Amino acid sequence: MRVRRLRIEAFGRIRDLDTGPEPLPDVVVALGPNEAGKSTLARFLTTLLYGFYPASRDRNPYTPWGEGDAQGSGVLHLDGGGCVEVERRLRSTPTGSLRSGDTEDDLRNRTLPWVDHVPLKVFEEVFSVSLADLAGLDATTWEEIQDRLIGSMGASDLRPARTVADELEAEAGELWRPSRRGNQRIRDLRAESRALRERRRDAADADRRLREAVRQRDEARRLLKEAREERQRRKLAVARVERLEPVRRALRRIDDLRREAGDTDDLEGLPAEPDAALRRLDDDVRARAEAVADARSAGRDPQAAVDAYTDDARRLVGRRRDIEDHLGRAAGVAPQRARIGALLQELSDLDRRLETTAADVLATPWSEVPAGPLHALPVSELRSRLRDLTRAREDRRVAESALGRATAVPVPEAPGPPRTAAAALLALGAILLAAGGVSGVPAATVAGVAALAAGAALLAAAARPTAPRPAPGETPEERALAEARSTEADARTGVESLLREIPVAPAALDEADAALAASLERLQELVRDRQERERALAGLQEDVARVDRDGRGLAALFGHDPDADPGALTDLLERELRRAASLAEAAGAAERELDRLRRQEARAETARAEAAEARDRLRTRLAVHGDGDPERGVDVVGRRRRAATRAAEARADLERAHPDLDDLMARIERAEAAGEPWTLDDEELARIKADVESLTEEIEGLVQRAEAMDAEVGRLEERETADSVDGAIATLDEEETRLLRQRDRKWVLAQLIRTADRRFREQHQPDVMRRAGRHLAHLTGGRYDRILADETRDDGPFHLRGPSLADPIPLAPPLSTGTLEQAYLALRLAIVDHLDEGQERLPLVLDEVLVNWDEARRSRGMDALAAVAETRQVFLFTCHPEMADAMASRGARVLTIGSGT
Amino acid sequence: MRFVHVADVHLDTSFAGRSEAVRQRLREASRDAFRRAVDLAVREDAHALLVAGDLFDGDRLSFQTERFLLEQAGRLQAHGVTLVYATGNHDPGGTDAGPRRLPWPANVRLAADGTPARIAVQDRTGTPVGYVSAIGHATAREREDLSRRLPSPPRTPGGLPEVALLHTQVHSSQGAEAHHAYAPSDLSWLVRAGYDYWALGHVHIHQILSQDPPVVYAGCLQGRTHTDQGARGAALVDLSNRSAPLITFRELAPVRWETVRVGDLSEADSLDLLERRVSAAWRNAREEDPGAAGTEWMVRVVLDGPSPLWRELRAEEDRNVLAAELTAALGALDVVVHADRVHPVVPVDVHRGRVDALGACLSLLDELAAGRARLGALDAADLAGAPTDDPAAVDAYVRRLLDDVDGEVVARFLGLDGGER
Repeated sequence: MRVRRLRIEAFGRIRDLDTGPEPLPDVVVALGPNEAGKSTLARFLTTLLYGFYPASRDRNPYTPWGEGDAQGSGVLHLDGGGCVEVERRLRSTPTGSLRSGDTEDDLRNRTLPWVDHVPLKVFEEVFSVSLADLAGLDATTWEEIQDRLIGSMGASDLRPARTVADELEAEAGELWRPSRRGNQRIRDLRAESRALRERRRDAADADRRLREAVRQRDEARRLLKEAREERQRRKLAVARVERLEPVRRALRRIDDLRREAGDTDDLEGLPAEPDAALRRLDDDVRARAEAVADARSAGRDPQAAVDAYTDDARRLVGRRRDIEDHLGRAAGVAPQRARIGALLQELSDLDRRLETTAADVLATPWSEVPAGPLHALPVSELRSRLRDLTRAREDRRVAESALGRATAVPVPEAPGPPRTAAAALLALGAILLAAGGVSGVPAATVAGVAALAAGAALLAAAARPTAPRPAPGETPEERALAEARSTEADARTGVESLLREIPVAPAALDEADAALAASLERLQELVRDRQERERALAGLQEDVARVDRDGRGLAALFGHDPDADPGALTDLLERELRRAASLAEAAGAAERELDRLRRQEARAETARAEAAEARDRLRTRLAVHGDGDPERGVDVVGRRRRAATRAAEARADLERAHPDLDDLMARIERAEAAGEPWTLDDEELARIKADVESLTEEIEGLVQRAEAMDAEVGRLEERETADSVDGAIATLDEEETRLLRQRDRKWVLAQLIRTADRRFREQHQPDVMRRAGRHLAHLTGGRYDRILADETRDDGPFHLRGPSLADPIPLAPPLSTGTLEQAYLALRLAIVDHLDEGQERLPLVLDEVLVNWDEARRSRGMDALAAVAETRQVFLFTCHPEMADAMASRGARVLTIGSGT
Repeated sequence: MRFVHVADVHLDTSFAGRSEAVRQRLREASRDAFRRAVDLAVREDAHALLVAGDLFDGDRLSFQTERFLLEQAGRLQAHGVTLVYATGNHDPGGTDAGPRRLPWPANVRLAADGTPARIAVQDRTGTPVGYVSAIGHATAREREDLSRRLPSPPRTPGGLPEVALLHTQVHSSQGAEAHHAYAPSDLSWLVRAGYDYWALGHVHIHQILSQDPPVVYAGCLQGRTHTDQGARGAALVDLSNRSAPLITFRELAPVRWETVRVGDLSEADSLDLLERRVSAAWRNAREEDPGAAGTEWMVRVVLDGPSPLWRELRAEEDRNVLAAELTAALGALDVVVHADRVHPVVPVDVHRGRVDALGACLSLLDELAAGRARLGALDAADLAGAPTDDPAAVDAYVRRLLDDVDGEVVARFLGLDGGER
């Protein structure tokens, strides 16, 4: 890369600098006095390649004073051909552009891609060499450059191995180093751990003190317990004398009374006052015996009533249901009996009406009239024929009248049979028949039948028709009459044919008209009524007869005449039953009374027996207590009873006075069991009381002590415990272990990198040294021709060799400064060569590097630079015009700085 | 004879935890576990409670724990249960300190001085139901095989069961390497010794080393650190039938320690996503082993590998925030997050084979892992946490340290990591 033109509008103190269109040569000398801007120009060159750093207008020292931005541009010819123009400007932020032909790229503040292989820092340190730098390459930069040169072979993506290793060692060192220098995390942890162990000791001490405090507290509590027990014993002794002894005496008195009372179980059941009880029992026995006698005498009247209830009465009562049933049925058939009477009367009336009606139209008594023909008579047909007959008769009468008028001979009518007598006989027969049926008297029935037969015969006789009259002569009237008669005869025949079996009285027949039909129809109705009543009567009579038969049967059972009037028999049975029932009821009541009296007697007897037994038992028990004498027993029992009562009362008094009596008794019992004394003299009592007071004071002290130790235990228990601190220590230990491994890992990794780097360096370093040797030979005119590198040597890593030297000499004083500077310059040139070997060669900026050299060295140096310029552009800054001239004579162009060029 | 066999109770263990509240709960958990063991003995009508050493964690209990222990012994006495206690390396009984200092009630039989004791165990009526031969550690560093000191039990046909009680490290037991080889014993000898049951302590993992006769580690009663993962409790043993002993493990520890390892975090680019990843891993683990009802969990979340959140995970404050959120999300008693090996997301394989210092580092790591190289000039004195001065041990330690650091190395060379802790 060659810089062919530079234009600076403003950069630091430089303004409006333009090297012009004439391309800058391979060696450019910037000539100017100190502070003229040579370093500023060198910085601009660097900025042109790498951008503004710092990238802030405010912080960048090359921002011009006053108005305007730092800005400038340069034209670069690249080693591989091609030309680019770079422009940089620092506004509030840096800007830049890169033009190549017609192409312009926004560069911003980026490094030019052709210098990427050389970091800015390396360029500044290696490619820009000042007089001070020449002799003062600090170790860090040197090592860095060495690493980059040797270890990275110019690769731009890797950091120097030594840097990486250094970082790892630094990180490891931050964790732990063998020496105590600097901050070390692990040593800090250990310090923390030590502090914790100190705390653990405190905690262990607290634990020890806690145990001691607990021991002391337990001891205080033990002593307290003992003191309280002792005080309690003392108090008990006092209480024994002052409080327990009266109780004990009372208890003894109670015991005495109880002994006197003895085992009162055998007094259980004995009355409180046995003598009075005996008297009461005697009185009771007597009273009960009287009650027995009274009960017995009261049973006589009831017994008489029982006896009055005879067997006959019992039989009656035994058949009471039958009798009452009969009485009920007899009473039940009373309406039937009345109805029978009424029906008989109605039948009688019907017979009379039949007789009467029959007598009007029939020739025979009603009793002789056959019932069937009358019943079967079609009355309506009869009426029709009768109407015909009536008309025929009228016609005949008219004919007869006509004839009569012609002849006028009347025809007498023959007399009929006595129909009235027949009706009377029929009525009588019916009455007799009914009476016989009701009364059951056969003679009445027979007489009735006979009367009915006679009446019927008479009625039949009366009903016989009369013989036809002889036919008349042949006159018209006669013929008319004959015809009328014939018609009448036919009509009559028609009527008679209907009445053929009915004994209609001839007269009635002769004059038969509608009345005849009405009469016969009336007879039919009466007959039907009568038949209905007869049927009703027969049913009623059968019911009544059945009841009467039962009544007779019952009457016969009780010795009465069964043939007597059923009504009378019924009344008799009812009366007798009523009487028997009354006797039965009286006997029942008497039985119940007798039963009650017997129970009363039994109870009275039982009570009497019990009273007697109780009395005897009491006497017996009293006799036991009285050595066979009940009276003495009464005294003994009374005395024991009184003792028991007094013992109970004394006990109750004691319990009232001492609610804690059980406790007192237990204490008395314990005291007695322990054989403790129950009597103390006053002096002993006073001494014990004083002991109690003393023990109370001691107890108070012990209580305070125990409480204080409790508080101390509480405080100590709240203290951090050793195991808690141990946990914190363990945590630190664990962290330390982890960090130790981490530290060792970093450290070992650093060693690994160093080892690898060394191996690599050993493989590649000789070539760098060879290049440096060639440059040195150039600079020294062949006096020294090799630089040796050996980092293991104590006298320095670099040594010089030359044709005139038998052994390598250290590149260090006492070598002359000029030689040292020559050697370093040679190394720098070699490094530069290696840094961009195979890539874009970057410009080399040298600032007064040759100024301290003698004439010969300077001349060789300028020759060497001219040789270097064959492969890379060299910028030489100087304030010495003769130096500029000398370089100009070697083809350099001189830029005078500070002159406005 | 029925008995409850516990071991390694470690009362008053110095639990490490993020907060005093958690540490306090863990200390209580040890006591709760022992109380549960006593409850179990009472509830099951056991004739004895056997403690196979390390009842105490140190030579001295806190006053409160002493009081607790004596109360529990008193409870056993009230129910007629004999407590046989053989001391271990944590609570040796060779001095007047430790267990011998306590005013034990009469039902407690202590084997504490390296002398065998044969103790008749009785039922509630005073009838012997079996014998326990116990021997305790007299010192904290007992190197002798104490099992050899126990006398051979009488071999009486139809006799009572004979139980041996001992705190020992059986060579072949699982997890023995995690414990000091105190009172080491040999399984074949134990099996031949003639006892009906060996009640062992010291190794914290419950295991039955032999079925006939049963040689049993009860395991620690309550886990103490994340090395004590899984259910912890006691063995409930019934030797009523000597030829068919019944051994049941009963989980008694109220707190369990569990670790959730979550790798491949490159997709989890937020703490929320990360929390979900961890929660899912926890749920999966609990589906396989849900633990007893009411179990409280001490969870260690180990995050490993590349993560976009490497910077946050390196920051202790952020880790603590994540831990607090996970504590709530997992319903745990406490969660700690370990992210020492988390590094930025870098494509390590891309950088392998490059000709520079990074390439050289990666090659060297491969050689170290393969044992083809070792880091020279490393001295135990340079290492803060080297286990011993033994070069082989140091070398192994270094190899463990360098396990899976490729990503971090690349990240550091690329300038993505460094100086953040």
